[in-house]
Amino acid sequence: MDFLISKDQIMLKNEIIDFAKNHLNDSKYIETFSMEMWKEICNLGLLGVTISEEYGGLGESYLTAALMFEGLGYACKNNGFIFVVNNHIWVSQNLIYLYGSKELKEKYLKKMVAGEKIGAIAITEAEAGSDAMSMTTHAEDKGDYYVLNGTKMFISNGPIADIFIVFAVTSEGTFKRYTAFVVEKNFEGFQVCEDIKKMGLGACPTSEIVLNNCIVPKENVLGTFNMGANIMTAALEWERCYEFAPHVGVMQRIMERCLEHVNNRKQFNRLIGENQSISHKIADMQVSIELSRLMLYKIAWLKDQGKSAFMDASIFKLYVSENYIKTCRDALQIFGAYGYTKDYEIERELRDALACSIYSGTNEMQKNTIYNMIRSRAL
Amino acid sequence: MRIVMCIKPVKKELVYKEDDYRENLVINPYDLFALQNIIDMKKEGTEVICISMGPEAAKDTLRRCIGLGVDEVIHLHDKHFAGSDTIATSYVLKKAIEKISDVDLICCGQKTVDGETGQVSYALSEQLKMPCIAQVENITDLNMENVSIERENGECFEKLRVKLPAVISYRNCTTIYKNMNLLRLKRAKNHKIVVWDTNDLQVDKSMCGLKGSKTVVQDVNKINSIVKKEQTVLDGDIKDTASIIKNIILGKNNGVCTYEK
Repeated sequence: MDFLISKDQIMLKNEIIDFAKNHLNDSKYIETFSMEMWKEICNLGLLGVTISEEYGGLGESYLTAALMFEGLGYACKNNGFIFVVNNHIWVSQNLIYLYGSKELKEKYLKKMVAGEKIGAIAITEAEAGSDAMSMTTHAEDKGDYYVLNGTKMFISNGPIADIFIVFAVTSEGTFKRYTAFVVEKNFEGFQVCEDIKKMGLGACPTSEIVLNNCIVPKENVLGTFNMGANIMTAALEWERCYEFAPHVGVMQRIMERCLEHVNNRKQFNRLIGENQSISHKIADMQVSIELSRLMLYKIAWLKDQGKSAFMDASIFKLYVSENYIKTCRDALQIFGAYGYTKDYEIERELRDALACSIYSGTNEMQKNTIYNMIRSRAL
Repeated sequence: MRIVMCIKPVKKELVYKEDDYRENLVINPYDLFALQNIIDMKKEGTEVICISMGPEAAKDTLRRCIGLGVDEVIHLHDKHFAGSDTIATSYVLKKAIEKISDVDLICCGQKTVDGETGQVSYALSEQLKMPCIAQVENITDLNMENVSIERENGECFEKLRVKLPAVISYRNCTTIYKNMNLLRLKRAKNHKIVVWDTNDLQVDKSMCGLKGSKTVVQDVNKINSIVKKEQTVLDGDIKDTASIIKNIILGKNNGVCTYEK
């Protein structure tokens, strides 16, 4: 591995930090999606970070993107908004960029990079969560078009998205096969339900979507027909890396906040940071940040080399999510009663963090993935 | 329509408290405020050119201006420009503006956070024989003939329409890069920056740099350095707290709060 960070990469990370501090921390949008903030991030040009300039993107490397998203997490307190941005970029727009036909790219990519169209991915169903392959949404070939029927659950960005990457069963039998479709919200038979109220990540609207004889043109098949499982696997790999990259920055921000607190707050006539039970919590945070960061850069480097990082992404997701939650819990403990108040926003950070052991595949499922991959290598 | 924006790169320490990786020079915050207002008001057919006199590192600052949305940048760089005071600086800027030609509006920040003189915009207007409007808050309208501005004048808030060409200077400062675009910034990296030296500008060397300066900086001293005093949270009973506050007001204990009676 060789991921020497250049001056230009640091400059871009700092650019994101500057921008996020000044434009993305409006407290009135902390629990609700803000189109105003979305437009700001569109004008910055972050959405097309790894997309080629041909489609209006920056054409930056995945390592640069990792640094920029770490910076975004560090400077933007609105974890829900970051989640919206990540869903749009990595599991919607990016899939069209990597697997879409030239026609699909022409049709959607420029508008998505410019932020005129917001993207989402629809895999999960009410009875198919971790066991995504048991989905029942299916597509029927009608000659010139497909007809999709089914219901997708917990779709992040659902209420605000214009373009959905929908996975459906396209071949039943001993070996079920799946296909990914690019579905517009205006397609006949497509319905978005109401925003589902969640414990955290309030700025990221989430909903159920219903496909009731939804008509999708043939050219809107993403990648190859019946090869949707490969795209789904790739989507999860991107998601587990880049949706968790900002969490490294968030942990850094929380650690710095705790450090400042323990070096100012006195109890029993001494700084609370002088107590090992407190200082070790901060040391644990730093260990988590350093190790997460190294894993993130390793995955980004692998992706820049065009290599698979599926197991690495699972390890990263598992490690970051557990330590992100631990960091928030430790921060709450360090801040004591103040941390439990709404004013200090530590409780919100914890509520936001708790979701990450669930989304993108539960942590239990990550352990299955990791075990299965090392076992298959050993056999 | 052609607008020239004068940019002064200043040391990053004067603007940012932290961040080790930022370029050594950053845009003077007063100039940044002015530049962003100009870019907000920029219409189709309007050309904004940034000029900056300074060392080699000023090129990075000028590239940032491209990222913010200006059309062209010109670096005024020559060893003979070094050490210029406000008179010498305004002379070189004037020569550059004359070389650009057909300039309708010249914008400056009111002052720089390093020199703090606030004289260049006035000197420049004098050299160019153009009216100077200082204390500008923002431009409300801009056309080929006039510029409409809002500005503070003492206790009044004025709305003025000024015939072009003119020099204006902005009173406000902010460090927020509100118009930054990453793609423009990326393209700016490969943008060949125009450099003009004494020959290009056909300046009289005796009128620029140290030779052309009327003021000589003899020494620089840091004043009003911040002394961190001990802090005490007043959470004792009301009698003790009142006694401590009394001592602070009377300047006893050197202004340091203690719980001693």
